[in-house]
Amino acid sequence: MNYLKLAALSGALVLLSGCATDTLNNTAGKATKYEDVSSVGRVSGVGIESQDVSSMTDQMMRDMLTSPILAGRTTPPRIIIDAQYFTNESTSRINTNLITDRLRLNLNRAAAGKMVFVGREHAQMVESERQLKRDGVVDSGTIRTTAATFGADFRLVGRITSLDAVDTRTGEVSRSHLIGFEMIDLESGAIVWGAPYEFKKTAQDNVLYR
Amino acid sequence: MCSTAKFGRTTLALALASLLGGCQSTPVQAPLQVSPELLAQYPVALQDQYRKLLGDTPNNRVLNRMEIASRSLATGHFDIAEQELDAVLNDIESIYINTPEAAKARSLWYEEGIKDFKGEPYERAMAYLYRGLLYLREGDYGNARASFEGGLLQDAFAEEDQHQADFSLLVFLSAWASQHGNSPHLAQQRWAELAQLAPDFVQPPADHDTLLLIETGAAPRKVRDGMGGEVLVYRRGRNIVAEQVTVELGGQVISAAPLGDIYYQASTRGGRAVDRINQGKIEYKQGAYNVGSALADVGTTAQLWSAATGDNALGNAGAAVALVGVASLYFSQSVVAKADNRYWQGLPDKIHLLTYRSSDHPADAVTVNIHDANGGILTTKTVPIHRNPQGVGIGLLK
Repeated sequence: MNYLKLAALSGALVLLSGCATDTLNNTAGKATKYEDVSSVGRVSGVGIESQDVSSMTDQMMRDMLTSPILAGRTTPPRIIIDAQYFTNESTSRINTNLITDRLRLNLNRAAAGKMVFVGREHAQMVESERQLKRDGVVDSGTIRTTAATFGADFRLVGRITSLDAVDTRTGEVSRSHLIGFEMIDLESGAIVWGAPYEFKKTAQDNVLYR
Repeated sequence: MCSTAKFGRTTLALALASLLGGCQSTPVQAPLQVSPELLAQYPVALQDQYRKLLGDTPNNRVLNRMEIASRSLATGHFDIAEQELDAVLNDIESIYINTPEAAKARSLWYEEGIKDFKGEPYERAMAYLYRGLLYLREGDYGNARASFEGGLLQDAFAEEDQHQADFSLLVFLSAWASQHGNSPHLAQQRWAELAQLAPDFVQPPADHDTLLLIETGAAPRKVRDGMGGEVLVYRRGRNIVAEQVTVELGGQVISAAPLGDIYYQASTRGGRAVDRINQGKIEYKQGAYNVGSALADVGTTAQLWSAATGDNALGNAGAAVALVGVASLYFSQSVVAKADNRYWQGLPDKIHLLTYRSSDHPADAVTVNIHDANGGILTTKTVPIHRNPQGVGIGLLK
């Protein structure tokens, strides 16, 4: 019986002998999380994701709807919102149409006629149809004819910028984004409205990938 | 007596191993058969790669997509390359917290290669580089620059401080994308950085509007090193003879600059965190082997003494100790500490580049000569130049 105890003890010692390692930091990775941009956060960061597009465009839409210059005019202003002058200078790959399309679509719905949106990127298509009408190939439609297509009063411009940081010791990455939206008066060049959207993300991949 | 002890130990080991044989858990999964109908939807030039992707285990998904992207770029299937690189980058950019495969890869019983492949930093950087080139083809300079910067970020993970973010070709491409994307201040920052990284490289004049990239040689290889193959080291690709590249432009022969040395990028990365995990496995394995070996010897010796002296109690004790020793030897054998040596074979050894004015050479193709170290021409190729909507040209020879 004593021999069996001795054997069991030996077995336990054997199995435990391999468990002692040095002070290796092999902790699992940490989930991506949002941080207050004004806080001193951990080093790290990742790109622009769908929830960022949603929240930034929602915020911009609310801001534009409360602007008297854009939404408080007796005659609704004509506005161009597309990605033509919305540039990406960040380290995140993003289709800027995602931002401008969502903003225009939601704003058009929420503005309820307080703003008129001009589809400048479709100008070629409109001109082509107008030409067919004027050539008599097709009739003039049911609404009206105009001497020219709409000229716009304002156009959205914007820029995405980012700041990256990497901690090679821990494998943490941080990325801080600033997305600036501005509305330009297309006669005077004045910036009549502007708003920033900022966020910062931190992340650390699994130790296997560091 | 020594040979008798070994015989006893071996016999016990075999017996125990046969009992525990079912515990060995390294998975071996046969490739799935892929139907010809499914493959037929892909271009013939890519069907071998797609057969591999569709039939392989999911942990090789990124690697197989990388190989498809390489082949697609080489055969002119740029839309497919775009789609596959987007999938690769989505995986690379996903933060893997603790997937079951990751947990297994860290355990004693599985090798590192069971984890989902995301590539080492040089491979991830190259995925960003190729995606950036495709954005350049489309004239999307913002995303091109973002891709090149993403590659530089991967390079920043290099553990050897002096080699962090030293991927000159990515710095060049970021500057090029910024310059043509109307972000001169960003371009200026990167040009200044490139001047420090590659002092011999001459910044292209602002009116250069065509970029030519020529790849030579085979991909750097990942080789297992260390006592149990637990450390990853890099070797230059095999049979590399191409050393120089010249381009025939308007009657002139101009040398292309070898700005990207992929092997250098791979081999200067420094140690990986996972190497220390593998090292820990090896220490466990060695410790278990040493203890098991000693116990098996003691137990077998006790049994021999028992036979000689007629002490049955000593014999029983010896058998018990030997059994524990053999169990330890078995566990030692079961520990797998091999480093992950899967690598992107579609990468080159070096990338050479040249820029020029389209007004000097408006042709939609250029002739490229690849030379050996002595200047002899190994091969001559014609590279088509694609012009994006802004009129900026790009050519890539893979």
